[in-house]
Amino acid sequence: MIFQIILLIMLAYVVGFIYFGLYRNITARIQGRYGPTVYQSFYDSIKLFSKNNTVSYGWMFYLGPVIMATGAVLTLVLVPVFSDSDFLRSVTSQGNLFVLLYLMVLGPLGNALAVGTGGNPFGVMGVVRGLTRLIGLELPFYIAVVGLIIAANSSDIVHIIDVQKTAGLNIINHPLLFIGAMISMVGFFGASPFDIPGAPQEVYSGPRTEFSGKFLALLMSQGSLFAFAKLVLIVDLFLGGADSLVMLVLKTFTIFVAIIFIGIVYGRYKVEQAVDFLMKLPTLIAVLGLARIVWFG
Amino acid sequence: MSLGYYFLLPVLFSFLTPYFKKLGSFTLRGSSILLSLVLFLQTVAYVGVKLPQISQFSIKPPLGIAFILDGYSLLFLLIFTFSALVVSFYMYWFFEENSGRDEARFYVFFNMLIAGSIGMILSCDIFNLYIFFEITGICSYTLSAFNKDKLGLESGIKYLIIGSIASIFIVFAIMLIYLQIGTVNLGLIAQRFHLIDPKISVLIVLMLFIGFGAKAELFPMNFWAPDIYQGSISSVNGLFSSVVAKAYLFVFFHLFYLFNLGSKYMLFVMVIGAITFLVSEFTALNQTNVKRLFAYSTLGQLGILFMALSTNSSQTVSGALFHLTSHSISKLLIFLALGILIHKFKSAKIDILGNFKSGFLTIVLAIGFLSILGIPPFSGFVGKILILKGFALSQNYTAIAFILLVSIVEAIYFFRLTAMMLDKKRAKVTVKVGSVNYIILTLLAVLIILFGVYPSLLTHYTDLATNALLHPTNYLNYALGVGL
Amino acid sequence: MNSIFLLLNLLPILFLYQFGGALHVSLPLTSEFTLSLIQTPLGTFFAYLSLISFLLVTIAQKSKKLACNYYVLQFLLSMAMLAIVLAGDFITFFIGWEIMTWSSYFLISKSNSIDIKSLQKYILFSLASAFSLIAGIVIAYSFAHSFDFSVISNSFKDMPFNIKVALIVLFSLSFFTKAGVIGLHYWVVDTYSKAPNLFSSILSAVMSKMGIYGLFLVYGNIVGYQELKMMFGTILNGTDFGYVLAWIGVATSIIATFKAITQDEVKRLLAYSSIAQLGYIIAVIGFGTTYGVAGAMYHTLIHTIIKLLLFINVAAIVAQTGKNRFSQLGGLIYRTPVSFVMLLIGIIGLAGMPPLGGFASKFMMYNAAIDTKFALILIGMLFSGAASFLYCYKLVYGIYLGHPTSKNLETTKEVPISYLIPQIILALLLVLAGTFPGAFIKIINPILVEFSLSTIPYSGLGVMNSAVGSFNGFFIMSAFVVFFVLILLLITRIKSKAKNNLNRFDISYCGEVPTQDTSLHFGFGFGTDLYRIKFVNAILKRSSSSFYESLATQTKKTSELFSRMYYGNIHNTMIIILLFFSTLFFIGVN
Repeated sequence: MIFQIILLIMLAYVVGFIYFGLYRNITARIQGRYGPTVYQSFYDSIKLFSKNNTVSYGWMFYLGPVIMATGAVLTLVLVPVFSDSDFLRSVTSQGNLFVLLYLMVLGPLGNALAVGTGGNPFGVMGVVRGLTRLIGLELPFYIAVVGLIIAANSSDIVHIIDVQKTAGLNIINHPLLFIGAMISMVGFFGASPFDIPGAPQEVYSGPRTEFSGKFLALLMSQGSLFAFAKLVLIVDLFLGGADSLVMLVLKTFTIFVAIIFIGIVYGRYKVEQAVDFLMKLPTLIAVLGLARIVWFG
Repeated sequence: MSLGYYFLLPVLFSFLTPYFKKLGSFTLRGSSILLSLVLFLQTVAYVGVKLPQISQFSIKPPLGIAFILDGYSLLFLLIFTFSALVVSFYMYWFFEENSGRDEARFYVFFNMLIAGSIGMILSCDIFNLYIFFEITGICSYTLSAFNKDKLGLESGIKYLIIGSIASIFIVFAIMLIYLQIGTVNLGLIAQRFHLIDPKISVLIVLMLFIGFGAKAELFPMNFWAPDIYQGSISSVNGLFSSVVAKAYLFVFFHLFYLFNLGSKYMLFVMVIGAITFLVSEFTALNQTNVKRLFAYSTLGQLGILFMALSTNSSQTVSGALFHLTSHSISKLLIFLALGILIHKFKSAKIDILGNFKSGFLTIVLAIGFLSILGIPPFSGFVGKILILKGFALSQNYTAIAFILLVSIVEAIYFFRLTAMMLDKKRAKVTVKVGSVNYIILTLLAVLIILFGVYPSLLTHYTDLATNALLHPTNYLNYALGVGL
Repeated sequence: MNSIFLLLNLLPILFLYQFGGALHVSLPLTSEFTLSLIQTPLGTFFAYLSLISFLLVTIAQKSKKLACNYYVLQFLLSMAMLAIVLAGDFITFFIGWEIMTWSSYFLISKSNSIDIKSLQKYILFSLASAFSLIAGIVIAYSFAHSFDFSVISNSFKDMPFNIKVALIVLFSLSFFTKAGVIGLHYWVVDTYSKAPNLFSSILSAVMSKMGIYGLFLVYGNIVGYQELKMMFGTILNGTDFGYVLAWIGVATSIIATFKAITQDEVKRLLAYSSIAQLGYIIAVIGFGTTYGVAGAMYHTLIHTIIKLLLFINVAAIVAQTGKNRFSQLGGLIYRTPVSFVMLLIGIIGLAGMPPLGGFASKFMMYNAAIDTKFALILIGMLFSGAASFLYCYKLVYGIYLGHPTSKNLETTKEVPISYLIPQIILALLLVLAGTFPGAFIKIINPILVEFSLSTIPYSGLGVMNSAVGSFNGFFIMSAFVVFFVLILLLITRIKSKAKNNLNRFDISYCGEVPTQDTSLHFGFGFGTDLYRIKFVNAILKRSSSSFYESLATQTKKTSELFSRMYYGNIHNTMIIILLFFSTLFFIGVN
C-alpha cells in the first residue's frame, strides 16, 4: 500500500507538471507567444527546492505550505484513481465524497494561515479574494455533486463509478450537471476568467507573495498533485473512472484541455463579477439538472 | 371575640388618638402598631375555625345588623390586616424621619380606614355596607391629601368628587332595591333579586356597577386614579393599592355572585376588565413619575382580576384570588420600597430615582417586579398560571392570548425600571435602609418567594374563598338568620 | 470563591452520574401541580452538555475577580437549565425556563458594556418566548387536563387539527426565539456581544441549546415524528413540516453567515456565527428521520464545544489586551501562541474541516439531507458552509495574524493558565470527536429509541455510518498526521538558509518600505467585497431591526394616545362617567 501511495504521488507529480507546462504553452500559443517548454515547470520546481529562502516569518509560516501539501496528498489518495482495480481501494473506501469536498478546502485554509503570518497585505487580499470567490465557485460544483449523490443514492465515489457502468456515463445522463461542474472547475484550476486570488498586476501574486525557495517549490508541487486529484475526481464522477493508465491520462487530458479552452478566451473577472456570474447561469443550469434528478429521476 | 371588634377597636383607637398624642409620639405610633397587630392576630385566630361565623347585634338577621365572616371575606381580612400591620410599622419609620408632620391626623384616618374597609367586607346588609363605603371613602380623601401641597390637595379634592358621585349611584341603587324588595339585608335581596322587573334590575346593576366600578378603578371611570396616587405619600399608595381598591373589588364580586348576575353580565365585566388592563398597561409605558406608573400598573392588575373573577369558574376565580393576594403583597413591597427612595431623593421622577445604590432595595424591588409580572418562582407566577389554566379549561383562548400579549407591554416598563436600577453608568447615591424597613421589606419579599415555591400555603385559603364566593348558600343562610 | 463554586458545579454532574438514568422525583407543589423530574436519554445528554460547560466556564473564571452574587446567579442558571432538561412536566419546564430567563438577565446586566436598550431587547424577546411557551402549555392543558409530558403526548393525537398546528407553532416560536432563528434573532447579537465576555460563552453554547432541547422535546417526544408525518404529509422522502423548517434553518444559516463576515467586533461575529450554526440544527431537526435527528444532535454537541472554546479564547484575549475589534487587534500569534493554536482548532472545527469533530457532525447532517432527498436544502447548507470559511479566516487573521495595530499589542503576554485549561480540554474533545465519531453513535442510539426511530449501525469507534455513506475518522486523522509529519520531515531535510525576519516591515510591498504608519492589517478590509455582490448585498442591507424599531414606535404612539386620556381634568371624568352610565343604561334597557 505504501508503495502504491508513493507510485501515485509520483504519477500525479509528473502528470500534473506536464499538464501545467502544457497549460502555459498552450496559453502562450493562443496569445501569439512562443511560451516556455512543457518541462519548464519541472525545472522551476527543482531549482526552487535548492534555493535559499529570502525571509521566514516563524513556525506558522513554515507549517502553512506543509498543511497545504498534506491536504493535497490526502485528497489524492482518497480519490479512487482506477476503477475495477484494487489499487489503493482499502484507502479510498475510508473516505467519502463529502470528505473530499471539505479536504479540498483544508489545504488552502492552512496556507492562508501562513500567508496571514507573513503579514503581507497583498497576500491576505489574495486569500480573501479566493475565499470570496469560493462562495460562488462552489455553488454549481456542489449542486452537481449533490445531484450525482442523489442519483446514485450514495456518497461513496466507488459506488458512483459503479453505477455508471450499468446506467451509462453521468456526462450523458446528466449533462447539465456536468456543465455546471466544469464551469466551477475552471475556477478551481485558477484559470481565467476566475484567476482572481493570485491575479498579477492587481495583488502582486496574491497568496504566494511572500513565499520563496523550498516553500514556493512545495506550493508548486502540491499544486500539480492537487490539480491531478481534481481531474481524477471529475473523471470518476462524470466519465465513469478509468480502468487503465492510458484511459486515465486520456480522460484527464480531455477534461484538462476543455477547461483551458473554456477559460482562455475570457478576460479576468472582478471578484463580485465572478460570484455574480457563477450564481446566475451556471447555478441555474446545475439546478435544472438537479431538479431533473430529484423530481423526475 | 365578636366580629364587631373589627370595627369597634379601630374606631376606639381612632377616637383615643388625641390622648395618645399627648402621651408622646412613641405611644401614638405604637398604638397603631398594637391595633394592627391585634386585628391581624385576631384574624389569624379565625383560620381553621369553622366558617362562616356570624356576630349579630341585638336583633337576629334578617331584621337586625350582623357581621358575617365566610371563606371569601377571611382571605381579604387576612390581606387587609396584614397590610395594615406592615404599613403601621412603616409609618413608624416614616414619622421618625419626618418629625413634625401631623401624625395624629394620619393615625385617626388610618385607623378609620381599616375599620371602614373591614366593615365593608363583613357587613351583611347593603345599607351598612354603604356606611362603611362612605367611611372608607372619607378616610381615603383625607389620607390622600396628607401632603398639604398642591398635588396632595388636588388629589384629595378629586377623590372627594369622584367618591361623591359613586356614592350617589350606590345610594340610588340601594333606594331602588329597597323600593322593589323592601329590605336591605343581602340574604333577602339575593333571594328576591330575580323578582325585580328586569328593566329596574338592569338599572340597579348598572348603578352598583358604576358606583363600585368607579371606586375600584375600572376603565372609563378611572381617569382620576393616577392623580390620587401621585398626590399621596407612598405608604398610602400601598394602602390604596392593596386594601382600599381590593375592598371595593370584594364588594363588587360579592354582590355579583350573591345576586347571581354571572350568567348575564359575565362577558360585559370581562370586556371592561380587559380594556382596563390594556389601556392601563399601555399608558404606564409613557410615565415619568414612578407613583403614576405604579398607579397604572395597579389599574392593569385590577383589570386582570376583573377579567378572571367574573368567569364563574372555580379554577379561574381561585387563581384570581391567589393573584390578588400576591399582587397586594408585591405592590405593598414596591410602594414601601419606593417610599424610602422618594424620601431620600425628594422626588418621584423615575430618572432621578434610578440613581440609587442599594443592593438590598434592588433585590426586593426586583422580586416585587418579577412577582407582578408572573415570573417563577415568585408568587405572581402561581396566580397567573392558575388564571390561565382556568381560562384554558373553559377554552377561552382569546383571554389567554390577550393577557399574555398585554403582559409583554407590562414587562417593557417593569424591566426598564430594573435595567435602570442595574445600570452601572448612572451616578449612584447610596441609600441606607433602616432596620424597621429592612425587616418589613424582607418579610414581604420572603412571603412572595414562599407563596411562589410553596403555594399550598395560600391555595387552601383561596380555594375556601372561591367556594364561599361561588356557592354562597351558607352565607345566605346565615344572612337570613336561618338556624341561628 | 471560585473553588467553592467549582465544587458546587461538580456536584450535580456526580449526582447525575450516580443516578445513571434512574432519576425520578416528583414534588407536589399544590393540589393541582406536581413538579416532576425524569431522566430520559435526551435530557441526560443535554444535562451533561450544560453542566460540563458551566464547569469549564467556572474554571476560566478563576482569573477574574467576580463577586459572590455573580457565582450564585450562575449556579442558579445552571440549576434552572438542569430543571428544564430533566423536567417531566411542563410546569417544571416552564419554571426552569423563566428562572433561566431572569437569572441570565441579571448576569448580563453585570457587564460593563451593556446598555438599557440591549437589556430590554434581551428580556422582551425572552419573555415573548416564555409567553408563547406558556400559551402553548395551557392550550395543551385544556385538552389533556394535565401538564405531564406523557399525558399530553398521549392525548395529542385526539386534539383537533387546528389546535395541533397552534401548539406546534407556539412551541416552535418560543424555542426559535431562544435559538435565534432569523427574524427572531434581533436580541441575539447585541446580547452576546455586550454580555460579560465569559458569560457570552454560556449564552451561545448552552442557553441557545435549551431552545434546541425544546424543539427535540416537542417534535420528538410530545408530538412525535410519526405524528408530524401523519399530520402534514410527506414531500420527497421527508415530511412537509420538516421541509418548511429546513428552509427556515437554511435561510437563517445563510443570512447570518453573511452578516457575520462583515462584523468588526469579534463577539458580534461569533454571535452571528452562532445563529448560523443553530440554523443548520434547525434545518435538519424536522426531517423526522434517524439521520436528521442524529445530525442535529451531533451538531448540538459540536457547536457547544466550539462556541465555548471560541468565546473563552476571545474573552481571554479581550481581558489581556482590552481590545475587542478586529481593527484594533492583530499580530498576536507569537505573543500568545497557545491561544492561537486553540483558536485554530476551534475554527477548523467551526468550518467543518475533516480531521476534527466539526466535519463529523456536518457529514451526518448532509447525509440526512441526501437521505430525504432535500437537495436544495443540502446545497443551501453547503453554500453557507463555504461562505463560513471567510469568517473563520477573519477570526483567526484579525486577532492573531497580520500586523499588530498598536504598540501595546507587541508586548502582550500569553493569557492566564485558567483560561487555557478549559480551552485545551475542549480542543482535545474536538479532536477526539473527529477521530472517533463512532463513539457518538453509542450516545445517540438510546435517544433514537426514545423517539421510536431506527438506530444507527455501529461499526467501530472510528467509523461514522450514515444512510448513504460512511467515513473512517480515525483513518483520516492518522493519515493526515502521518502525511503531515512525513512532509514536514522532508521539507526540513532540505537545507536552505533563511534570514529570520528581524523587522515585521520586511515584506514585499511594491518596491516601497512600509513604516509604522502604513496600515498593514487587513482586518478592516474583510467583507467589503461582499457588498458589491448583488445577492449578498441584498441580504446585508436588509435587517429585522427596522421592523422591530417600528413596532417599538407604534407601541410608544399607542401609549401616548392612551395617556392623553389621563390628563387629569375631573370635570371631564365626571361627564365620561355619566355618559358611560347613560350609554350602558340605554343598551341595557333595550
